[in-house]
Amino acid sequence: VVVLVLIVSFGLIGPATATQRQEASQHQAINEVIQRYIEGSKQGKSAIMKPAFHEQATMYFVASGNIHGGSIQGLFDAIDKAGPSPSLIGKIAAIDVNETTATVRIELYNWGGARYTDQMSLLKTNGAWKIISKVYHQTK
Amino acid sequence: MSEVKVIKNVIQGYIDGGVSGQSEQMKSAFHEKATMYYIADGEIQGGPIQGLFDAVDSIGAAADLTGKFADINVNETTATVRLELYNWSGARYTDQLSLLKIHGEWKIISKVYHQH
Repeated sequence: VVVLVLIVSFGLIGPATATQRQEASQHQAINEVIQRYIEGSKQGKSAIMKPAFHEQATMYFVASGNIHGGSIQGLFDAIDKAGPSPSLIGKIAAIDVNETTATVRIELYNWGGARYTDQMSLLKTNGAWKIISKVYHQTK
Repeated sequence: MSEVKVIKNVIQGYIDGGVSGQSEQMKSAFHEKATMYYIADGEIQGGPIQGLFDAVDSIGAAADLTGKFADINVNETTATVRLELYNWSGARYTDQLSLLKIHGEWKIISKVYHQH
């Protein structure tokens, strides 16, 4: 039953190999972490997204050629200050998993009217995936 | 020169520094606030990129090291690169790097890696 569910859920054709099943469950675990981040952004509550990040995580971006950012606390402060953003849509564009590390590209639409692309790096700490680095680009 | 080519040249400086075992050669590829993290026995390890420079200088030359670009994803001012590294003093690694385009120059701001 588990195998059938996985085949249906992830659109695998034919019997799933052990590697395919493992990869599918990794993607699902990472997806859940990212959804927490998106949900926290929608509700404007940093407490919802905090478990998605490692405490040493950083966030950086470039504006007018200059680098900005630092500790991920800057994101949490901005979220709580901005408040809810109910029309925000977050789409995971790509997930690249490599056993204990991963990168995720997220397209974000209508975040307080703005459009962003996030590129996240994650680490698998004691079985739980945590974001350690966020860089983003705001499309003007 | 295409953006991908420029990014590859920056990363090549990092690889060349690994081959020579001289961190001076790779420093310009990284932003000064860059970090490096990895997992060992389920625990997060690492911190400031200086840890990489110290390790490279202490390991010394790795003449057989080769780097292969597996994926480059560019998004105007940000990019991610997946780099496969073979024979770094006998070890095999996969790096996942994040870069920022600061005043027209690409700099690595984050490195996470997995040792195979």
